[in-house]
Amino acid sequence: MKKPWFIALNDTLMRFRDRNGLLLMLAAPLVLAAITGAAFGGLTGSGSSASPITDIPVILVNADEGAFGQQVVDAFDAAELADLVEPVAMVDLDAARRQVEEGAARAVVYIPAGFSAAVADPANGAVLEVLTDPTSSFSPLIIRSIVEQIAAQFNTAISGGQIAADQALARQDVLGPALAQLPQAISAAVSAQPGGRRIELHSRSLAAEERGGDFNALAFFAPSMAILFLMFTIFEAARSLLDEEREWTLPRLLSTPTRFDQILAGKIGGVLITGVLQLSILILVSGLIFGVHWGSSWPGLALMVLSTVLAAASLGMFITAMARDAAQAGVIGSAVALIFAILGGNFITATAYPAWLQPLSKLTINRWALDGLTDLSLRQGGFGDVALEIGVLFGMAAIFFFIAVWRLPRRFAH
Amino acid sequence: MTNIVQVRNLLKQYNPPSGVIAVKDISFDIRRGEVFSLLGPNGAGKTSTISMLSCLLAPSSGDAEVAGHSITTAAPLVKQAIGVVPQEIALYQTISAAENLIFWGRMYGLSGQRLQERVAATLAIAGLTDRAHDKVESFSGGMKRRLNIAVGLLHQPQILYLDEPTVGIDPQSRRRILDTIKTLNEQGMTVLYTTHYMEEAEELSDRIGIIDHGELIALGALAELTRLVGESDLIDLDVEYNGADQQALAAGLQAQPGVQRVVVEDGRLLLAVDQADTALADVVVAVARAGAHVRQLEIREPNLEALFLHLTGRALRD
Repeated sequence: MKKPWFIALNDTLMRFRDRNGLLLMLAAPLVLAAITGAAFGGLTGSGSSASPITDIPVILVNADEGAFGQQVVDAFDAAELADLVEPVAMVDLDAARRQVEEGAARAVVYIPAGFSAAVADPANGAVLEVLTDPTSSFSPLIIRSIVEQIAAQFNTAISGGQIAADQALARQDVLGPALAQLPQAISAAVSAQPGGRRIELHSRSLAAEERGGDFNALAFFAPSMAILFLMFTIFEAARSLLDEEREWTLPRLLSTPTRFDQILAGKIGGVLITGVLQLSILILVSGLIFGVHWGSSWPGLALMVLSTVLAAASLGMFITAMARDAAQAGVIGSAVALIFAILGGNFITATAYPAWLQPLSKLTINRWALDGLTDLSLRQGGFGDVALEIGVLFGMAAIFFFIAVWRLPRRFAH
Repeated sequence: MTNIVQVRNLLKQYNPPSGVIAVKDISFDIRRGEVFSLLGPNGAGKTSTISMLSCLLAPSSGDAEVAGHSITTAAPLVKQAIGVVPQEIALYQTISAAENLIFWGRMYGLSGQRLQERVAATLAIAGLTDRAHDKVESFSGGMKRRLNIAVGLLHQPQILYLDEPTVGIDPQSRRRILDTIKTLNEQGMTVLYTTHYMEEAEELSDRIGIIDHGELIALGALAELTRLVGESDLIDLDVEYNGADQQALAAGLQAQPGVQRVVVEDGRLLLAVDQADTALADVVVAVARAGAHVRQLEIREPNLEALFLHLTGRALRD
């Protein structure tokens, strides 16, 4: 066991002494997470997407028995929104929230009981609540925007009436005594119209609510960027076996009384140590600097880190085993890292992807790793919340690992 | 003197059955305590031979015993007995010389106090004690070569394989490496040395095997080998052709009395002759009659280059 350990140690030592490597491993993901987190965290209704956004699932919970609540529901059924949203009516607010928490819907629009009465009563404020999925980048913004527009329509009515009343009041001399009471009459009428008081929109992220603070976009982008750059680092580390072949240190190792399986174990060990250290440092630093909370279960977090690194390392060894040489492994590794990152939702949360893309997304290590880590960082989940992800990642690791370990000795046999 | 290496009918064919046969059924012995050189041009089969003797390459047929262990059935024991210095710089560039030696020492099973002692000793042999903690990437080519050799010496092997260790380095570093090998041999180290530099083989070797196209075409001590070419001298002509046909001139010189063989190499003419002093005048006149003239000439005593020319009809540097 000593020789594999020394090989792993040597690999890790070299990797963490490489300044350029450290930039890629640690600095780049933290900087990118900070930038993207700040950008998306600061959005208030604008955004862009590389793909068309359609059929956003939204749940309408109408607890109001009046006409104005129904008008809000009807507004979501308007023809111009037919492609954009897919509203579903529910009566149980808690059940609707669970749907959002489980990713089945992007938002709940809650019309509280007494909404119509509040709208009609100038002494009270009417409130519409929007509860959003914190893991979605764009959908909550769109839903909130739609609700804002509905509220604005109500408000426009009262504003228009108010303007007419003001203008009549200003031209009272021209209108003459017969119409002297008109401004007051308009004003009284307007008070009875929808939106007699401005409707307030209360928008909340479910995770922020549960955590008792504001939603931290970094809680999504910190794990996201960590996973993305972990893949790059791990693939490069796994490829070092081919680099060593090219640089003649592998033949030299094989000329010593060291068996190939010891060398392979050492190389894999080096990859794992590097990956675990990288991900752990990123988690620690994101917690210290960005205030990201990594859930309520240390065992859950530790196993998420381990399973993610194992899966990525096994995929890296698999690519190494199949590649012709280091250059080809580099190209394939970079391509896989980027494709997996896009499919897995490292750039745009995968829950926003259309249904046909979801199965593909779930074939990637990134998706399961991101789902698990964001369950911890965004939803403050415990071990039970990430058990499935941990299991799937260990399963992926086992498949790639056994193929790689079967193939590699043959790949290097002379 | 006992043999430390016994090679028997070793053959290596890549991608059989139609692939290149790099080593063709060669047999030879290396005696304990001697410097044995495999001399031959690039692609002659030297590295394939040394790779098989290092258990890095499986022979297609035949076998060899190194320190009493078969390369085909007892590779771990063979590997413990040998120190291998590959042709390329096989070091980790981003860590220090001492860290490299510690790592490679551990791969040879060294640890603790003995490892520290061997690291210090091999750093001294390589003349790198004062640079022990500098990264290898900051070293010159010669220093890297010396460290490359030091790694092969860490575990005090019974025999040291050196595969063209002086390729691509400056004359000063080359001199230092050759002196190091001589010193190691004087201290009792057996050395298997491959090279395509005739002068190195002549200077270092107790015995030399000449290898060409995978075949061992001559084997013996330097004096024995040079006797194979008889009394031949070698005339090396640097010719200004002035439009004269090079091949026609070579053919004309071949017809001169006393000229055994003529080879054209990089514009130069190499002539194996019975006696240089009697043949020289006729040769120079023949060159002049062809419309060319001799810029420079060198007469060499019978040596390995003449032998290689004699045996293969080609210059060693081809």
